[in-house]
Amino acid sequence: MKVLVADDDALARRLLESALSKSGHDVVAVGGGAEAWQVLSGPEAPTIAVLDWMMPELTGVEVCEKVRAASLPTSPYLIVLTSRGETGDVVRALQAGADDYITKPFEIDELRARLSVGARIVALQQQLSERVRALEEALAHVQQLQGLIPICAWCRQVRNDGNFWEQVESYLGKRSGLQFTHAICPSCRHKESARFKKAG
Amino acid sequence: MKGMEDPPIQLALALRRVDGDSDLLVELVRIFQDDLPERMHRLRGAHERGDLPETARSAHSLRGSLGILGAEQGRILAEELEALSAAGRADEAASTCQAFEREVARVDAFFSSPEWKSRA
Repeated sequence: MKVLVADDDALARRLLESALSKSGHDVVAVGGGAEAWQVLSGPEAPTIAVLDWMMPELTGVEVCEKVRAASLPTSPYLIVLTSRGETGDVVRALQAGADDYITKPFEIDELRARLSVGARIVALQQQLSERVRALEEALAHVQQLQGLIPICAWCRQVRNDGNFWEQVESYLGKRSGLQFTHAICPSCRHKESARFKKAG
Repeated sequence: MKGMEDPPIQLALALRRVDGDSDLLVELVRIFQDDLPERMHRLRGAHERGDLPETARSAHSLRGSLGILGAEQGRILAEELEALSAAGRADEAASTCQAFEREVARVDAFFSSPEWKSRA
């Protein structure tokens, strides 16, 4: 999973980068809040971010606020690193839009465990988005079959959205996935055989 | 507060912080020592100007690095300096800043001696 690490302390940044790379994550490391915001709001943005609270230009908490206020294509899972372990600080970070926090100095195992939680939630969000998209597509198909469809009273062709007339089998097939086999019903068979006899 | 005769670094703690990776610890120490003169210069400058918010920020930054490297005494002093500076208690911050500088010098000396790597 692609993970952003933002910490102005080169030592902490290197430690985070090393620990998360060893866990198999694709790490993007930056040294400030403004850079972090650039990466998170840019193309192919990481889905998880570990943000130090105290950074120049933009703090980790301010980055959280900007991310949540923006309409980004995907909403990243945000973890704030803080050496402020007091309840008020934690509440402030969570209210700003952080999903979790880790207190410095942190244990690597704890960091990895919290990243796993984040990865699980991101994966669930992605699955949910895919399901919603599939449902929306299915709903669009159903909506196409609703309403009034003009049909020729003689040849039974229907007029489609492009104002062209087409066979009813073709029209329904395109919009519902239905397939038709061709047969003849008893009354038509009776009528048509009488017509053939008369003609022959 | 512990006595100044205590070793400045708890190597076992430092190794735990890096998940037992001694090569990574050596790399982190190098980064720390490379950046230390500038960071201490910034702290000293802020302290001498009486810029308590900047003193607090500099102490905060050093506190994080010292915590990773197992420099517990230094981390505690940085925390004290940050809290005193943030609270505007300039006199107490001044004495803590001196103690902190001495402790950071001990940390630097510890990592400058070649023996520590063989113990890591």
